[in-house]
Amino acid sequence: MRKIKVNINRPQASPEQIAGQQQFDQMLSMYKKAKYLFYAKVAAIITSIIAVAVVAGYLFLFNNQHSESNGAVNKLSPNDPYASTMVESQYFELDASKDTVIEGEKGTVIAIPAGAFLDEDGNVFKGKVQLEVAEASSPEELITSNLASDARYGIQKALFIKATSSGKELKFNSEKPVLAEVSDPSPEQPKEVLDGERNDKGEMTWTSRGPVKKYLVTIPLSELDFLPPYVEEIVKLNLPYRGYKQADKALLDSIYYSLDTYINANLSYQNKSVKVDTLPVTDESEGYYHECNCIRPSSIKTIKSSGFQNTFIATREFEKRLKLLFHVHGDGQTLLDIYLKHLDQDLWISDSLVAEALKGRELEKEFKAFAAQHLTNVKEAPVTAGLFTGYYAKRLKEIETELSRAQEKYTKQLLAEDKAAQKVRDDYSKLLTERFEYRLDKFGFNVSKNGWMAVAVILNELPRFDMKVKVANGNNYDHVHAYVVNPVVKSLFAMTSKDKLLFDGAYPEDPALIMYANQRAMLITVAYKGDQIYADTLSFQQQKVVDINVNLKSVTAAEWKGMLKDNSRYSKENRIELDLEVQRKFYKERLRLERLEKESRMIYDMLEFVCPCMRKYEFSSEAR
Amino acid sequence: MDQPQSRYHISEERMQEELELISKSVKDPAVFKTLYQRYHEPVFRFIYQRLDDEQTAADVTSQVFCKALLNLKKYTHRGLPFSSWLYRIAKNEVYTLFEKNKATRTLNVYTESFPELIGDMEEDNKEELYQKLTKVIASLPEEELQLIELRYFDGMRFKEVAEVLDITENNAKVKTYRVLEKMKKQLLS
Repeated sequence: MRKIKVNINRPQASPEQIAGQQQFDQMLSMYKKAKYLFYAKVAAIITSIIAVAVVAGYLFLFNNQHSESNGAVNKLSPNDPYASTMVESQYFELDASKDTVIEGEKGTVIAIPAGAFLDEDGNVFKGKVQLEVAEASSPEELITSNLASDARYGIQKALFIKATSSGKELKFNSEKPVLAEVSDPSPEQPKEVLDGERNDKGEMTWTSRGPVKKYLVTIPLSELDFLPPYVEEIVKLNLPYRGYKQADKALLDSIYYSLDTYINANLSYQNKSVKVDTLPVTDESEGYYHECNCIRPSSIKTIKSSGFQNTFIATREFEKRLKLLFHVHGDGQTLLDIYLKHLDQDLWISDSLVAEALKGRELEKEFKAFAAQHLTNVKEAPVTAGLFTGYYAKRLKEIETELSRAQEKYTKQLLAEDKAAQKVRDDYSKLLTERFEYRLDKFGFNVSKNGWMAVAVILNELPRFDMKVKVANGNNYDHVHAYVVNPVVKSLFAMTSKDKLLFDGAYPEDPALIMYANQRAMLITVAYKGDQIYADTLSFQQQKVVDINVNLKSVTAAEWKGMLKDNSRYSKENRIELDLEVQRKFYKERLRLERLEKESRMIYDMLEFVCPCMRKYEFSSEAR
Repeated sequence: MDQPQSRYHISEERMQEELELISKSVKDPAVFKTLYQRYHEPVFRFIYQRLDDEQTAADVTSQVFCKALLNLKKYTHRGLPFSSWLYRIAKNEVYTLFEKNKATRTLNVYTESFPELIGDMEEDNKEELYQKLTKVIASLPEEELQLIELRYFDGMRFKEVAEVLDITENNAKVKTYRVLEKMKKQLLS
């Protein structure tokens, strides 16, 4: 994790203070020293080292060129003056009929496939092989071994390899190439592989084989980061998310892939409508495009399938390119498809095509720079990658279906939850109506006989009064409820609040609190925070204005039950306990809706980065 | 967003004069002294802005000018003051220190820059808002933090930010606006 120290308004250093630090002469002497060291190094290379067999981070092949032209291969010539200072050999024994990988002391990795050697008659050799390997990788080793004495080249590393069986020299089988991989201290510079011959004076003559083939190295797809910018950050801002407290890889992938159906649904409408050419096309900065073809999450999920493990998709180099493609507005998917259609070719070819497609646009320069790196392909690619276009299309279809089904399943689940919540609301509505009718009935008004219009007239005959209940710190609780219990008629009236602080409203199905003039009633207030109950009961008298302040106190479940003792004997529709069962369901539903709203906002935020060309108004009005 | 008047901005004549000095310095390093004296203070401030130790900042400043002098032949004029090139070297030097754990990454924020950063956000408790903003800035990934530092605490123009970070000017703008958007969302959350 990055450590960072933060200072707020740290005093600025004064110009005098800084001027005191000025030491041009000291800097100049530092410069001269560095310059001297540089020239000394160059001089040493020019005078004492000769040529260069280079290689690094690269794989190169061994062949028979040397042995065919010169007979026996030896590290030293017969009277080699450098015999005592030549780098030492390492010896390995291997079975020629099996694939073998050996690693030299200085890090050279040599991969020897089965059948890599031929005997003197040109037949594939299958027995035990003794392998002599010598690595010269430092300037000192190159000098003391006199390996860098060809002035045409600047040799960085040299590798000697010789295979024998019972003292007889074996040849390399060109059909089963031996590969050597060495580290590259300066990957940005082009390299060449050289074949060397050594004369009696211990001098090397190097012959170039041409540029080194730099293969890309695959790493497990699961370790690559194929997420668009800010997905991780946005998810982190929205934690906890559906029970997840950390934004692990699985969660991030799952959320990102779930965006596929949003994008497909939105873009199929958006692109269709644009093609009709009825919408105005304005400046890019306003977020309108002729056509939006951003990178689809389904496409990313597809290329993370194990089938692509042996292609250049599974490389850090492709990961870098993909990260930039996510920033391309409008046609990121088209550009990604260029890579997917050329998996059997070198990476730089796709880089060039993408740079061409981006001509005159932002990021053209970056992709031109990629192309200039001339990166090739993974070792296995030429044989297998041509088959991948068909595989990709098939797998993409499967994944689109899979993601679409997952979305359908989730939508169904949401609809079921909506339906269940609606049933709770409907049932409660009925209960409230029954409660109101009960109360009217007890006051001598027959609703079914007189109808609702008549009820309104009747209510006018009763004393009108205003009632307000203020709950101290009400907004600190999860949910708060205030009930008026009329002990005379054994009825219940639920008051409503917009902010959990002031209760002065009623449900439309039970709109009026009816009381006789100066009648006494009970106010029962209850609140919940987690599992803890807070409650208060008090008696009040009907009058023109009833203004009550409530201070809730923590109570045990048993105490709360005691407070409801009388009310629990009322008819079903007038029992607080049953009303609270519904209120708890309402509370859960409110939390569910808040969660959905939060998730919806998160998806909206994410789509701005995942598919920046998608027209915002379409999404905000339809999908949000 | 308006372009702030950059303190790094110099006139065309001054730029031409610098080019001549650079050309002469390649042949005679002593000539470099004029450029050294001119830019020592801003380069020092740039480095010290990211460090917590004045002496380290002074040492790194020397290294920056030394490297600049060593590589002066490679300098190509891209219509920007010579200082932009120096800041790029300075940035690389400072990050090399961080990578080698030889210095603590330090973020120096100045609240006077905050209004420009977040616009006119309605908030009664400015102090609380600024504390939150500082936290948000400090939590930004390094790449985003660099953009905010260069643009708002170093007061650079986008062209200069782009030069230091070796990206296009448009890219610098887009990235900065995205970071600002992200920061605002975090502030409001």
